[in-house]
Amino acid sequence: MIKLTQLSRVFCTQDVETTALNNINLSVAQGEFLAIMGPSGCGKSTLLSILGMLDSPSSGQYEFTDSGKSQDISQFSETRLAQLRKTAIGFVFQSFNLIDELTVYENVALPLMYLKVSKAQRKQKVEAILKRVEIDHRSEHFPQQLSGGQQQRVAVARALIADPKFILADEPTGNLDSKNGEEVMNMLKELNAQGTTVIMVTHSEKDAQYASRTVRLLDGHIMLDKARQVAQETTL
Amino acid sequence: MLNNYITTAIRAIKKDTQHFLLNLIGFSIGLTAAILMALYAQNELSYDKQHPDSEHIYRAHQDFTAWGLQITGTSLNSSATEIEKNADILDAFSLITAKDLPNYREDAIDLVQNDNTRYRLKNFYMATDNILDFIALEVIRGDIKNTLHAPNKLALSEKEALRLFGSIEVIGNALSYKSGQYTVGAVFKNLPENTHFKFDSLTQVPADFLARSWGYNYFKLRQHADIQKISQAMTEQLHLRRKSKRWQQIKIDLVNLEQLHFNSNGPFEMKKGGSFATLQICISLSVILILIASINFINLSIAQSAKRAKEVGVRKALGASKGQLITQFLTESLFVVSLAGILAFALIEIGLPSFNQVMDRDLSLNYGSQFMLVTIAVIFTVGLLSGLYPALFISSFSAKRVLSGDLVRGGTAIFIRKLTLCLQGALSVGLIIAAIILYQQMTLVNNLDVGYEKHGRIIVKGLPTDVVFKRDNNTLLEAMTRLEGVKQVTLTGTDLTNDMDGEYHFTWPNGERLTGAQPSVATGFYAAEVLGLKLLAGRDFLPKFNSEWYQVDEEGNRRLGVLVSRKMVQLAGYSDLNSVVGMELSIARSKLTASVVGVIENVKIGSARQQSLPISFALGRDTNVLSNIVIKTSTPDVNTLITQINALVEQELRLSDITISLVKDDYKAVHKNENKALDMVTLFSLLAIFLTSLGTFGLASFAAIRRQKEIAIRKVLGASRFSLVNLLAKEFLLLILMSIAIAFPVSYWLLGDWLANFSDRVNQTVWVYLFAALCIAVITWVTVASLAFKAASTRPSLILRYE
Repeated sequence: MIKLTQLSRVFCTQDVETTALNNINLSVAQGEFLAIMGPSGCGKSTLLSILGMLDSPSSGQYEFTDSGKSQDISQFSETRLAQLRKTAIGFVFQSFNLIDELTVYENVALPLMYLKVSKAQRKQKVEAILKRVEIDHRSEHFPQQLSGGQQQRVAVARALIADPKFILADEPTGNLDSKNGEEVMNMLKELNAQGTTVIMVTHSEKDAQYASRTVRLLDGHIMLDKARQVAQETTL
Repeated sequence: MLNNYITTAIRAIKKDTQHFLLNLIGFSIGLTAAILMALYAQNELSYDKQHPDSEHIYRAHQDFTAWGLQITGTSLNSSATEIEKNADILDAFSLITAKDLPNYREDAIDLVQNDNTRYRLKNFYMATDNILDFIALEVIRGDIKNTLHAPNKLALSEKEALRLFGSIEVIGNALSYKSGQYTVGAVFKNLPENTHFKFDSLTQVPADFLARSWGYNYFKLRQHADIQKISQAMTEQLHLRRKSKRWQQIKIDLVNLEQLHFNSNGPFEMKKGGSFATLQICISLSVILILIASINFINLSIAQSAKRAKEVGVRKALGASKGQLITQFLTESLFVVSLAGILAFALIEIGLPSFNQVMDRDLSLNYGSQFMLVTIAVIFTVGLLSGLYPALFISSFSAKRVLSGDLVRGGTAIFIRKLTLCLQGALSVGLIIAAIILYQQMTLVNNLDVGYEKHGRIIVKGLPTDVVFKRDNNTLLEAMTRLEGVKQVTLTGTDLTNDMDGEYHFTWPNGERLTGAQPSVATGFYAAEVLGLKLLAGRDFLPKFNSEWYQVDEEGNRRLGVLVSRKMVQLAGYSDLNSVVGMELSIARSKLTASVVGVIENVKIGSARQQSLPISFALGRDTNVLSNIVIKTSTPDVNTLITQINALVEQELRLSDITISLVKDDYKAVHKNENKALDMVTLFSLLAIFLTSLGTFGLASFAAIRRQKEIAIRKVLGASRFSLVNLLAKEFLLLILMSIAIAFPVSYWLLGDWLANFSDRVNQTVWVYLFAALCIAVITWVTVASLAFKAASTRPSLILRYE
């Protein structure tokens, strides 16, 4: 579904050039649960931004396959990326990033509004997804009125509402206590089990255990691709 | 989606009420001022556009500035009748004040209605019968063309008919005068306010009258006619008619009917005209206010944008396009602007009566009018323009950076914010300087030593000369002198606050005869005392020297006493003022000998913009039909005295509609336009300062929040509260310094240009500039310091723990 080839991202400031990602090669297949790990400054966030189509690489290819059609999106304009992003990706952030001015219901319904889904359909889908993440009783509440765990459940619901091709989770348990964190990870696992591709960036070894594959980054390079290693060992 | 935008906007407003209120108040004040000005401008520009072919109708103005006098809207009718033969002139219309009728007193003052009530006709003019081709006049009864074609017929305005007869069904009704009677032949609708015409009674211009009188002369010109050429031809005609050398300096100019409102501020106008300069000042000021309000809006929106960054990032991540985000934030701006618009209309409704009073107009808001549509369109355009930059700015936040908590505000935004604050400061400094200089100039004008006394003087105008202007047995003057609070009374043929209406060209004993304008004012006894003329030599006109009163002997030789001004004496070649007292001046042609009774300080007639002319005051001879009585009083209760004077004149002269005013008010009225400009500049400066402070307050509050961590750390490291306040205030004070650098030269140049219009003017002093700068610096410091103090007083532990 995703194939990164020789992908690099270089940031240029006035006198310093920083290579955040250096010739990365990475493929993610449909239905995978991938954890990306690494120390601070290793390029995790940059990789996540590029995977999430919020940023474009300086060089290399980002092939994205949707409904059997593969296309290189590395040079897409912001508008085209926005267009693709809203149908393809569901985001879950460490700090939830719910819009404070909107209720739980409105936050979850927002992606559907950008997809111009009718009001009746929106209502049906939002109610169903809120029930699925067990937050429907809080649908008229504002984010600040919820606990961290509840907010993250809303964020997951919002990520799933538009039936995305994959979910991109950035430290989804970073702001949660262990109980709530576990709950959210179980939810992601469950979603993956139902066929949703999940790509997660995390610092937590415990959370990475939920993933079927782990990629470790260091200084902009992939140092370890655990699932592939396992696969290679099996072949040997 | 729109619902979602509005819901978000309302909730964002609820979360940040302060920012919303700052924007709302700022914008509504700016809009209120602009709409009021637009109403005023619309009214001012609508003058005389209702008349048929108004764009091709011109009025002849006579330019007397070469004599040191003003431009008048009246001209010699004969030049009009002659020039009518010009091929480019399609038609000519004349309007002449009935005061010029040879028998005005008999024909127009003592009118008796059938029931024996005495009236005099108000705003009475003679007009040629083609009036309807020049003036949009709605005739509601009778036939105005026939009325003005026949003698002794009257056309009355609706209100004049109601005043005289209590009805408008008055065709055929008669009004008797001494030697005949007028019959009402037509009634027309009252003239609207937005025209320079002001007449209530019209009659025919007597035969041959046009050839020798002065009046308002209007010409309908062929399209593309050469105005310059026609004016030139008219001037030549005038020079042919008036052959003397000094008349060759006088010019005739043609002024278009639609421009007359702004060109009818000279003497002898039907009513006081408007001022284009005041209109320009008002429009510029309202644009400035809207600009300041918009800048505040932009600045505050950008400063506050960090609070909405997360929302923008999330919306972008969820697929919102840049266009959708721009639309969202523009919708928010329009929402705020709409509320500001509603508030502005409410403020206008509250403030309109006071505004009308200041501007001397009767403006009102008509919600169903085209004006309202245009106003609403303009409000939305301003809202769109003000919202556009913040919308573009906010929607261009990088979702990636925002969501990773790495929001860095662009240098461009900070630069723009500083630049705009700097401009606002410059405008405020400039407006304060302008308000002070205008105030100083108008105080100078109002208190200018014009050579006569304006305070403690009452003037009774328009009294029949033959009744009041007499030396002996003047019962009216005697009765007035006996009134409580009256110190002395005199007669005068000229209203000194208006313009000259007569002159004597004396030959002095040394053979000198002055050229140029030299007004002469007819007066009674005690002229110097009552008018407040400053005697430099000789004495006042006194009853005990009653032989100085104008008299004619059997051979037709005339004699009178005169007071002459210092300028006249000096121009005549005498340096010792005392030496001229007792001298006999002569005008051989009219067999007139004037004996100099005294020398007075120079007197300036009319507006302060005029120069002092050599002037004389002559005892006892007024050639005008109507004269004035001037009363010197020391009473604090002027109103009671005016009531008593009114009753006395009514009783003595059997006149009902007498004009009584204070000389100081008349003088002020001459400078109405300048005073109006001063009022407006003062008001708008205060509003501009208020709005700038509002903007500074908004920005400073964001600066305080932005720098709260820095403040906390500095405090931990030992900084005092005062040093922290100054740290924040310094940034703003530096901007104000830049504002001052912009405002000083621009203000100096613009004000210098305006002051050049006055013959007596104030100097632009350094203290005014320093005071204005200090005002804005102090206001800014206090505004910023109040917020900075709060920020500096917060316990650092709270901030650092939060961070």
